Amino acid sequence: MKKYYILSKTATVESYQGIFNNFGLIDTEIVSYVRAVNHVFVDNIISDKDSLILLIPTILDPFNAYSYDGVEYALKYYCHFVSTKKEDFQIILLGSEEESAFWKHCDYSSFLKCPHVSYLKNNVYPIKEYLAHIESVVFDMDWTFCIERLKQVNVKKPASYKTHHSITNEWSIYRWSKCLGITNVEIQKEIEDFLYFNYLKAIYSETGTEHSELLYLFEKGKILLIDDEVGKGWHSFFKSFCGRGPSFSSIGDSFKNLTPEEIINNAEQKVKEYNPDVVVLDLRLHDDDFEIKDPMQLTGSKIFERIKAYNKGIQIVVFSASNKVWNYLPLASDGVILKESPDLSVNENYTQECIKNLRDTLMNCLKKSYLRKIYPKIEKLKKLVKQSDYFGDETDVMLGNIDVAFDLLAKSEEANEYKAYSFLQLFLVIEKYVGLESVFDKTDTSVYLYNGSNRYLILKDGEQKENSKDTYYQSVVTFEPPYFIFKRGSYNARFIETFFKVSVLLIFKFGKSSSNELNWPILNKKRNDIAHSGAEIKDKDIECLLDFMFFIFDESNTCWRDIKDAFPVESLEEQIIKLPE
Amino acid sequence: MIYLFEDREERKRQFLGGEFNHSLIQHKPFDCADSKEMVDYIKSNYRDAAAVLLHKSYEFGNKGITIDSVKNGFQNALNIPVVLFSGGSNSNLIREGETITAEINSGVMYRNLTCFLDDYQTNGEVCIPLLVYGKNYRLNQLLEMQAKIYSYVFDRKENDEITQTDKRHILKISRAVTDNGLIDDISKLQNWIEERLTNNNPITVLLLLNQIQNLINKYQ
Repeated sequence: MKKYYILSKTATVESYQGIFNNFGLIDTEIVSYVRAVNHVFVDNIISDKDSLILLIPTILDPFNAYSYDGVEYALKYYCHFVSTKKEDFQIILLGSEEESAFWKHCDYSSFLKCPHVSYLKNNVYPIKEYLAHIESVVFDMDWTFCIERLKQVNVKKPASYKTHHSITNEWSIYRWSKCLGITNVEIQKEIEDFLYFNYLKAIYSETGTEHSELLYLFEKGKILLIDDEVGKGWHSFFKSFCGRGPSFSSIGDSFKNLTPEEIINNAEQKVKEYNPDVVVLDLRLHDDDFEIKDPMQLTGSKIFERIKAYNKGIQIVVFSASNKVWNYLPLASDGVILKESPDLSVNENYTQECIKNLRDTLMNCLKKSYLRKIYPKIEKLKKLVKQSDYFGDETDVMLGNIDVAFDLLAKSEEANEYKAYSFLQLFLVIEKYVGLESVFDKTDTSVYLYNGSNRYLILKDGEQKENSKDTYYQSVVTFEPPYFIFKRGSYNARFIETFFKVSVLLIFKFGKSSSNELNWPILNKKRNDIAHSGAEIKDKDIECLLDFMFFIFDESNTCWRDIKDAFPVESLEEQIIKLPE
Repeated sequence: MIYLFEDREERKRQFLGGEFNHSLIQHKPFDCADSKEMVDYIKSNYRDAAAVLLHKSYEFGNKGITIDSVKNGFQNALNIPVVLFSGGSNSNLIREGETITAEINSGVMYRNLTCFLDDYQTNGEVCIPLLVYGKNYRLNQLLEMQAKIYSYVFDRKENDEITQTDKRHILKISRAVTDNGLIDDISKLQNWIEERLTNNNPITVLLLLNQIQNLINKYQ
């Protein structure tokens, strides 16, 4: 059975119906423009199993005749039919001019070359004749031919960049959801009204993948999306995409009525509250951003800077609808995810490649989630080092060393050695500290620990023995493997090692009974293992070292032993007596 | 004077190419402080306005002022067309009572702006269809006439003859075409219909429609 509909924008629906009834075309339903553009009507006729014949005047609004709005509506229906593979339909354009004139005037006249599209004069006689002619015709469709012809219509892209940007967003949501089989993502009806969007859906087939389950995220952590288009479907998409892997939250729906500064503040606040491991950040978040040429001035770029200033360890992935995203590289982002621009969908594997990139980029960033946790510790350590002022003019150099340690850690996903280098870089700060003359003071035969007012004689009577490169001292601490204890004894070494010096600090400056505190012997062994055999370092080793450094650089932990616990300092005369003759 | 309220300077520069100067257009911010005093503000600041081109998403300093209130303000104060433009809009002419105005794509508007201003300078009247359709605005009027006549003869056969009643309807439709550049050709069409029917020289539907098509073909 065939169903006939004729579209009318004027108030003559009833009169049209009367004429059609008079001419025996009683099955033809006249549909008002208002009803015809309603989604319910469109959805109903697409799901209808009957053959459809749509008669659509090329000009629906005579006042805007040259816009050929009827042709646009007809094309939109055609695209719906093609994308839903409804093959038993016929679209008849009802023109009020010669077909040759229509070809000259209408931008989309090549629509007439598409299968199942005809052009008739807008008059009841040719309509009746044609309907009688096709009454017994069974419609079927060669989809390849149809899509080739439809491509030749060359529907225009939206003129404004902003609208094109919106379409890229919707297009990505639509394509990626289809590819992954995500069904709960609503595309905004507003965009579905764009002819161009429907045209894209029609000319590019869906690209579902048999192994889409492999493309979901499974790493744990927290992801935050900052995007003014979040309400258009991105939130639902990412929520599904994260599945049982990372937690997900988003912000951006409320940006429309905010100033750029308010957007920046809201985003920063959300980051501080949610504390994500990864931020997926769109850079154009305000209408003004579409006019800005310097990428560093975009609202998103400023949010980027704020987040990195708050916690450099939070991974920021730039999420962009612009293929000029490479201009934003000065931002030194931790990844880039390009939304799928319709121009790029020509390559049938492109959607899958996009999703793989999305998955790989996010997984890679989630694996670095420890950076978000480490960074505040790095900042705390820098603060303690700065406050203590042990290094004097060298303080900035030490702070730089600590920054380098963090940067090395950030690179450790590339090669695990970077984690070991980071460990050594932090350890170097300890070595530099105990190497300061203001901490340990050495003479030919003695070593003193200095606390600002008193000198603690730690090692004395240093003596070089025959056939040995070691120097032999009397010591206030004794090595009882694997650490030192507060007990007088001897110490012999080629040079005074960091292990010894730090142990003395723990016992004398911090009042401990031994140096078996805060994993110091283990940390020292790790350091030696790395230096000598390239041992593997884990995140917890770095954290352990940082905890140790917090302790020794925090002045409030100081608890000096009584000066009498060290060797009595000899007078000048006593020292002279001991000098070799 | 035409007043352009555009808050996307970059877009303006992009379309108009650097500094754009024309004696009949002014680029001004709309900085009315109080929506209750809108009509007075418009009368004292834009008394010479012949049309207003207003960005549909214009951000007014005063959040109580909306696009609709500004549009109504200009229409109430000066009874002039207010054309709204936006990057996301399709271009459409709008008839509001006696006034022809439009909602227009910003790209289309900027492309047709020079030609629109030149026409205003020459004729002393604003032609909004020219802003929407550029030089094809006349073709738009003719296609409108043609579409209406087609609708009128929707249930007639090609060889049916035009009656006196039909003639009155068709002439009424043709009189809606008022553009100076078309008036001669429209008059010729009207005279041709009048003369033939006065002289009992019948006009079939097909002949009438062919005559209209020939007229339109001149303007392609």
